[in-house]
Amino acid sequence: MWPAIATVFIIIALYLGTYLLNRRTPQPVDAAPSSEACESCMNYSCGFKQRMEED
Amino acid sequence: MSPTVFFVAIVSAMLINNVVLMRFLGVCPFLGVSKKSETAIGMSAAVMFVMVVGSILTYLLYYFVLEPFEITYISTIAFILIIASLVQLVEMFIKKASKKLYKALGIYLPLIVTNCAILGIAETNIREGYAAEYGVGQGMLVATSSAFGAALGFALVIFAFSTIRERLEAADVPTAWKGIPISLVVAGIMALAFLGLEGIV
Repeated sequence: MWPAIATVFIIIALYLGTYLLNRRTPQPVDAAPSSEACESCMNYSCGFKQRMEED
Repeated sequence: MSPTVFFVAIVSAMLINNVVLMRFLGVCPFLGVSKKSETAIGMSAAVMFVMVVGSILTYLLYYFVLEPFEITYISTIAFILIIASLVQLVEMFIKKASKKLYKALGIYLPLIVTNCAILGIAETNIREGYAAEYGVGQGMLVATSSAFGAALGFALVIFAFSTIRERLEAADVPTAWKGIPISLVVAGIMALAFLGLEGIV
C-alpha cells in the first residue's frame, strides 16, 4: 500500500509544481487568446470562458 | 519488427477504431469546439501533441513504476495527473517559446485536461498488451503509433464535422432541429459511414 500512496503523492506534487510554475510564467504580450474561438465553444467549465463572461 | 505493424496500428486507430465515432470518447470537444473549422484545427493540433506525448509518459509510468511495485490499480488516477501535469508543462513552454503558437493553441490547452480521449487512449495502449506482444521497448513504439493514429482520427472527424456544421448554419433547417439536434444526426450518419471501414485491416 505504501508504494501506491507514495506514487500518488509524488505525482500530485509534480502536478502542483507544474501548475504553480505555469501560473507564475507571464503570458506573452499581445498574445491573449481571442474571444472569437470561445464564442464557438460550448464548454462552460473552461477557465477562459468563465473569465471572458466575467469581463 | 515489420513497419507494417506501425502502419496497421495507425490506420486501425484512425479509421477502424475511431476514437470519437467508434469508441465515443472525446465527444465533448467534438460537439463543443466544432462550430468553426479554425477552432477545430487548433483543438486537433493541441490534442495530437498531448495525446502522443501523454501516451509515451503513461506507458513508461505503467511499465517502470506501477507494474514493478504491483500498484497498477492506481493507474487511472496516476494517468490523469500525469496528463494534467503535461498540459501545464506544455502551456508553460509555449508561453516562453512561441507567442504565435500560444495565441493559436493557448485557449485549447486547458480543455484538453477534460478530454477523455487522451485518458482513453493511454488506458487502451496498456489494455491492448503491446508490451506482452512486442516487448516493452518496441511495444512503446507501437503504442505511440496507435496514439498518433487516434489523434489523426480525432482531427479528421472533428474537421469534417466542423465543415458540415458551417454548411448547416446556412441550411434551411426546421427550428426544432437547429443547432445540436441536427449536429447529433450528422454525427450519427458519420458514425455509420465509419462502420463501413470495418474490416479494412
